[in-house]
Amino acid sequence: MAKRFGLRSLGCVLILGISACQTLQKHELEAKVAPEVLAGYLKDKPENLKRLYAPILLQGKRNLVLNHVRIGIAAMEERHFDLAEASFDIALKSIETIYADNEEAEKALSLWTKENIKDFKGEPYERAMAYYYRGLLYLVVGDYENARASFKGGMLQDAFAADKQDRSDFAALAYLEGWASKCWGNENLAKDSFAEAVGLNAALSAPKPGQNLLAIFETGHPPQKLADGDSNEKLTFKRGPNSSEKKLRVSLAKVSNTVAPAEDIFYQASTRGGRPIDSILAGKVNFKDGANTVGDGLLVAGTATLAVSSNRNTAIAGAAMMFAGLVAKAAAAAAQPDADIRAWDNLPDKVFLTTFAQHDDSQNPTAHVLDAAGDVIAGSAVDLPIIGGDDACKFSWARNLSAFAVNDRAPGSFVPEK
Amino acid sequence: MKSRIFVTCILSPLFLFVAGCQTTPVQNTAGTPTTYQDPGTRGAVSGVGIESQDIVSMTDKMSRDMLGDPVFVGSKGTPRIIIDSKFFSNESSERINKNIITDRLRIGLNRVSKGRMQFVGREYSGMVEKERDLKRAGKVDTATRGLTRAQAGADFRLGGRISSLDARNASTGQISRYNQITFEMVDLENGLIVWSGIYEFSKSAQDNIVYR
Repeated sequence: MAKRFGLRSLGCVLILGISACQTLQKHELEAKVAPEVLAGYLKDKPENLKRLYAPILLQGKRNLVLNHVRIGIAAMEERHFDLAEASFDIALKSIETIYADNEEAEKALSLWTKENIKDFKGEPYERAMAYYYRGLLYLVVGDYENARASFKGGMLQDAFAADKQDRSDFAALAYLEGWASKCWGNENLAKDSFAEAVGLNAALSAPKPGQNLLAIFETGHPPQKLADGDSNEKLTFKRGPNSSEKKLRVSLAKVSNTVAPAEDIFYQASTRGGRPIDSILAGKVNFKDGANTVGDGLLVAGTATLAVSSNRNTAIAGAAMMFAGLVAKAAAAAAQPDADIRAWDNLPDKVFLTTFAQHDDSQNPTAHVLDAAGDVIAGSAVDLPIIGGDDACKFSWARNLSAFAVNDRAPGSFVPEK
Repeated sequence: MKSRIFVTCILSPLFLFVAGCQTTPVQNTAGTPTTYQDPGTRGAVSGVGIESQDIVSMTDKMSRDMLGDPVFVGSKGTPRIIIDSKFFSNESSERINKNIITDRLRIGLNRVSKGRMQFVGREYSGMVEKERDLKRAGKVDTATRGLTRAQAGADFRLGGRISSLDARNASTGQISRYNQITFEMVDLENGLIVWSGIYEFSKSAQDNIVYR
């Protein structure tokens, strides 16, 4: 009777124990911030940006970069250029910092801690895009030297792809480096960068003499990060929904340019190849699987021993085996191989760019999306307002999806507390 | 006896489960109080680009070099110099406010030269022009230092360039950057470069494997 009771109890403990090892870890919880503190922090922020600023306090340093890049792009859309600059500067400062002896980064390697404990710096495509937007903001104010440096800095972030041909192949950044150099008056640097851009993407061509307007149109949803594998240990990417734009017609006055994508962000995300951390996560999975197998074996053997035990010693041996099996199962349940799927979710899927000679300030370029046959899709027209630059180098920019069309929290950054 | 064994077997795994599921504390609680840092030493946050200690070192080195050059000190008359970022270009891969470098260089030289060099504030010329106009229009008096025929011209002006060469090793995650900052003083009458200085350094680092 006592034996049966013990077995049942052990079974209950096993179930309880495994369920106790929920995937949620404490670092994933948001901080409890007093409402008056949060209200004080948000007081001077634009009304529609407040919901994006709130996670800065609630999620802290771990998601600082992620939250600031989301704010940056939304602030840029709202023409709060000073706020956008500040956010991208904060983000880039962290991205450029070398985390050689960072405590959280070390913990991410631990068997018992998820990868997402590390401070978010983003995958290379996300880091490159942070430089891209900072560069655009420099174009807005006519600081072409720093715009060029920013685009060049973005290209360097794309240097860690597994395959050689996928390294530093961000054609849009090379083109923009050329544009910024041209606007700055450094023709030699401009020539080199345009040549690099065309080499990376044959659909691009250097601006013709006299063209003084750069028009950029961003379309679609960004790549989605998914955790694949039996233990969610594999980081994979999926193209965002509603991201089918393949060609545009961008018109200004009587000039119409048919424009192919200068950059496909999903392509950049998905050609990065394996990450060094993947082998560590795979090691965590191996441990988890191994511990589970050992645990199962010991539990079966312990149960059998206990069932046939005819004396005290055999019963103790059976119970000890079950105990060891439970410990192994506990260790397996506590291992955390989950890949970090926090993602910058208001990026576009594609970047289109083209140039014009513009002398009438009252006219903006207009972008139309083309279908497979090359015909304009009705209702797809979007005005590309000029948002900065100077007479010699104007800059117009628009998106077909708002940067505000996202949840308050970035994907993977928030787990509701039960 | 048997019941004790079972109780032990039940409680021990339970304890282990609970302990095993404990994780790290919430990251967002305590912060770090503000601390002053010596700008001449490596800060708590660093990368491979130009940092405060580099700016302090390079401007100190250039100041010493210029002060020891007979073109500026000991020649006939006190040279008038423009040091600003107008012709100091950034061709590196790093975003930087160039004024941080040129301002420190100018101010350091101005303080140490004790009048052996004069510095023309060309970026303030608009401000000066407005005051001159007010004085000459009689809207304000002539102050205490008298009037001059025109704003000060300069003998020399600083030019220079920030350049960098970046390297990445995709297999090890190692990154390195060679930074080169050149300073040149140009004679504003004949265009000759009368003094040159160079400051160069290379930094290398490797991010934690979780970021590679």
